Amino acid sequence: MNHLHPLEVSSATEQGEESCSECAAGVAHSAGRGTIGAVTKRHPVAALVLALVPVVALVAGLPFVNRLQPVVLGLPFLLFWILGWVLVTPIFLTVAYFLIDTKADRTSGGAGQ
Amino acid sequence: VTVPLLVIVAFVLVSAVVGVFGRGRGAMNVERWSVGGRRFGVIIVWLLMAGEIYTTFTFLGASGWAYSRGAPAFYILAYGTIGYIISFFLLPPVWRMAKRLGLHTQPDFFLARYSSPALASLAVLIAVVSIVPYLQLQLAGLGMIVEIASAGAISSNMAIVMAFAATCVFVYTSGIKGIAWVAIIKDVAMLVAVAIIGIGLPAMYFGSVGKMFAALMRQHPAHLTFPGATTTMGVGWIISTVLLTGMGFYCWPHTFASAFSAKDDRTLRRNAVIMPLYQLPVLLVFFVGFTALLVIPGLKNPDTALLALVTKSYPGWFAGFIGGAGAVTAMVPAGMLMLGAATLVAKNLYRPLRRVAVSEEHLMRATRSFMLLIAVAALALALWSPHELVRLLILGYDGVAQLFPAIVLGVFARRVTVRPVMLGLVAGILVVIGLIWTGHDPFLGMNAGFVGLAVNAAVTLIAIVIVNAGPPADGRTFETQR
Repeated sequence: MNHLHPLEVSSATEQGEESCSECAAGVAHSAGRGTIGAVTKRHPVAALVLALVPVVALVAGLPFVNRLQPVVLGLPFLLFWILGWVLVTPIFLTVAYFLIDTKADRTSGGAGQ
Repeated sequence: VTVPLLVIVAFVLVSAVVGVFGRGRGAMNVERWSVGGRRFGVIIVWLLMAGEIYTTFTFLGASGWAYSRGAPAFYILAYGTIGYIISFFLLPPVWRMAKRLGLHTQPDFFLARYSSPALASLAVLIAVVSIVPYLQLQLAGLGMIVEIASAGAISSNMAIVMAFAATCVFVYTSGIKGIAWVAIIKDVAMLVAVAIIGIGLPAMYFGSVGKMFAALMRQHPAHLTFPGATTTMGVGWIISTVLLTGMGFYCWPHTFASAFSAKDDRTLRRNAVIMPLYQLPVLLVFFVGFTALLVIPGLKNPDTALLALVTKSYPGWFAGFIGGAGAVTAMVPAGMLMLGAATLVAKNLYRPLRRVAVSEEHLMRATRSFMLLIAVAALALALWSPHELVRLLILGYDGVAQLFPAIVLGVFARRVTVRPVMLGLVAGILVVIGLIWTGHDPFLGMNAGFVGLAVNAAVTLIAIVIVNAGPPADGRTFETQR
């Protein structure tokens, strides 16, 4: 009971209705009301995997690209590799954004206003 | 009176005036002063975050590292990107919790989530110990910029006092909104300056960036791969440093709290999507550092490489423009740091320690007083104790990154209570202090802060199994309701 995966969110609550809006590890949602129906369309795991691609390239990839050749666009390869991944990260995050952004998300933000 | 001097002074004064008038109408309270009433959209949040993340250290430090160390400087490009990816998932739920519970500061978050005044106090301590040297570094960089750009017409100390007084005035009156307005000036000026010199300087001396790199690869073939011109910054050091600083990125109390000023959680997520593009100026700054290495090798202080090359290559008014842009580049993060640290001390140490009830007006007065106090302390340190800055800064960064497990578990794992988090935090900090104090940084080729964070995470996870006593965070605190 005490042991938890760091990204896991308990879905057993007294409220009986869990609509965790930031489940990075993809916990099953029990959408009680129709308004949370959009939640079922979210793909948090896919978003997380997608976002991890640049991380892996920029961390685990480094030992393999620590060289000058080939020179691409005038840049030594190591710098080109790092720069290239920095520039494509917004593309990965944009797709991830549409995978986890939902109608429920849109309304949750201003809920208290 | 010289031309560069006039340009720099004009820059600083215009920024201060814009900051003072940027406060908007109505009475000021802590909510407005520190988080802008939580009404900022994508653009302003982007400007603010960029404003505090791209500091004078980026301007001078990145070119200095490119000049003196070479490839290890590339970690700056990588770690920011990792930080933004983490923020994409982390900041929206943090924002929602902050909104529900009216949080202003990072220790507020720890107090609300873990119901532990001890953890909140420890967070304040880590924050202030980390922020003061960071602030001091901005000031020292500012002094260096203005002194060199004005060709010695303003001394470093004089520049620090002047620009700092201007910063205090607009932060005191306008809070975060004033900083946001000045951040606009700063970002535009910095982008223009960096674009001109980043492309212009390699072109001026070599014809193009590509030809500059070709010359560099001929003359210093080892400079552009790890470990560059160093002996200790190999691939292992780079990877551990990128991970540590990427995870520590939003652990700084002022970057963490700047997320609170967004008008909604999606703003933060969209912001994370576009932030990596803001790394491009860093690349241009690298170009300047590399050009400087080829054109003016052998500088005693590598942090002056960018400025020395600019004053050598351009007319006086342009050097003044670079100096002014550099000064504002130091003022915005300095303002942000002062505001962040003052809010922490007033709200999370001063108020709990007072036995009597502290009203909103009282808290606002106290926050402003602490801001001036912290400002004076950092000013005194910058003027009279300019040594060991880098060592202090490294210790600070290694320190704040230790908060990462507490933040992540606080957001994503409801049942984790304060004890495992506290044990891990203390273990991590002790390891970091121990390794750095005994001269074991890097340790086995890895950044000491990363070793501390690994120990921290391991202790936290083991302790979750053994001593995670107590009820889980209550439903109001945690994310259960829409």
